[in-house]
Amino acid sequence: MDLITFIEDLTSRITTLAWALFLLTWSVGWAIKGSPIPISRLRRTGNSLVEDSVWAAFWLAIGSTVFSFITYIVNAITSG
Amino acid sequence: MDEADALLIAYRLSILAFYIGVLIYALPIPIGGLKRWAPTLMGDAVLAAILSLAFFYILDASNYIAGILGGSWELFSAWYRDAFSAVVGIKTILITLYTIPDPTGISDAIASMLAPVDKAVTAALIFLASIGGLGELVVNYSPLLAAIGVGLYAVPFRLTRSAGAWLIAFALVFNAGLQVLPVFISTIADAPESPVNPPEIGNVVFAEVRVVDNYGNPIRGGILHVYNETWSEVAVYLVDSEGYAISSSGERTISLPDSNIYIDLELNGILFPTYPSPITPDDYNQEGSTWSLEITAPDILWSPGPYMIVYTTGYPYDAVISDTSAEFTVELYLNHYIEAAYPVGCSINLYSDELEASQYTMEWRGIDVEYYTLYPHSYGLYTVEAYADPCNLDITPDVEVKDYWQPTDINFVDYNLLAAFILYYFTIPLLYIFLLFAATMGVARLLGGRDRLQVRVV
Repeated sequence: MDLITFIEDLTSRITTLAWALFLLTWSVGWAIKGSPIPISRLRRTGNSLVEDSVWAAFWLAIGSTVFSFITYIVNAITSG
Repeated sequence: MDEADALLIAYRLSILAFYIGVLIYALPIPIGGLKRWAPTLMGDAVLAAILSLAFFYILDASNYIAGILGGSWELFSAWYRDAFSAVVGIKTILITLYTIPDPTGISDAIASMLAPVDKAVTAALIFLASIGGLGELVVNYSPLLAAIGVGLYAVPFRLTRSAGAWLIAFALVFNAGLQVLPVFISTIADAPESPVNPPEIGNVVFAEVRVVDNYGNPIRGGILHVYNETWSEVAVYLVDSEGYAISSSGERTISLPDSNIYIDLELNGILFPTYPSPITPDDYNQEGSTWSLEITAPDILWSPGPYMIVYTTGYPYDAVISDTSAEFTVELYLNHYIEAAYPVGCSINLYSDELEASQYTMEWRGIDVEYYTLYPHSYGLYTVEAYADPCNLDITPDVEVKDYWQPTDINFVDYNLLAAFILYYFTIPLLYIFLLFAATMGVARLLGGRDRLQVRVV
């Protein structure tokens, strides 16, 4: 396995993990936010978790799009 | 690995760093210090991706700037060739000066004078070689170095970001800067005229030269004029009271061209030819490491004291010689004569019944010389008695002794020229290289190399 394959492999694993973590964080965030515990700091934590996870999902989507677009362009240029 | 591979790795690494940033965003751990890594990682990743994609444009820009400033790699290599050969030339001369056998004893003084020069030249040589290596590196590998720099730059968590930024900055700055180096130097200083004027040391022979009269006795005093094959004078030496030629430093070993030469002896205003003529390299005798040469002035019959001689234009036939008196039999034609020449204050008396005498005084090179001449009235063999009254006058003719090998005349002892030389080939390039390194630090800082990894988990 060469370095590039290794990095690519790592990247795809991390992407998958990030998606999974997004779901987890999002659920955990909502769970904390919606839990019947009347501590505002806990609720704020839950809220920030939800926000972060949404940002993460946004960047995941944007990143995948942009990077695949760049890869597509570069491939088009190099193969064309 | 070529630069395309390195760039691909850099690009992949930046994607990885980006997703790691996203992953940290998505972590369900509500710790601010950890979460702050997320935007940092993503920002770095975007910058690294831009660098890796725009890589060749940036390199081209570096070359373009060098071109605008009037530099090129051809210019650099031309300057480098000149500088290196000039410095190597000087170094070669110094080495030669240090290593030649020097029985004249001049070179100790010269060596101590040249030691600092030698150090400076050695430093310049090492420095120029370093610049050459640097230039070689930059010409051949600056894209690769910069690409590796981008790769290091893109490693997540800023692990090698400083190193990468420095490599990129180095490649860019030196790629442009070294091409402009000759322009910079020629703006500040003019190229010194080559101080390299190597003496042809291989063509020198150091020898003890003894001058003798027709009967093999030493001629005491005189001036030797040494001519090369084309009869131009290359050296002038004095002859001491025992017939040895002495150099300007007073040594009995003198330097002569290692080729055919002619030597004339000037004594008391008269120029005597000497034999062998020409003197070839085969005429020298070797005893151990000492070379010696005996030359004869056949017209001179007797030299009883310093600058005292008896000579003839006729043909010597026989002689009986002691310390203070002599008896010569010479064959004289009508226009021939036998003459004694000596400084005023000393005397040589010539006696002959059949010859007519005349006497006159002339000044020769600051010495008042008295001449006592005997002429024949007809052809014949004549016997002349001579009585000398040697005096211990301290006599030195007014003449400038000129050694054939003259280390003191070598141009590079001209310290002004040497200073210009060091300035041009050492100081200013060194200054410039320091400038380039400073610029490298600046560019590296601009790229973000200053930031240290700040591990702040909490």
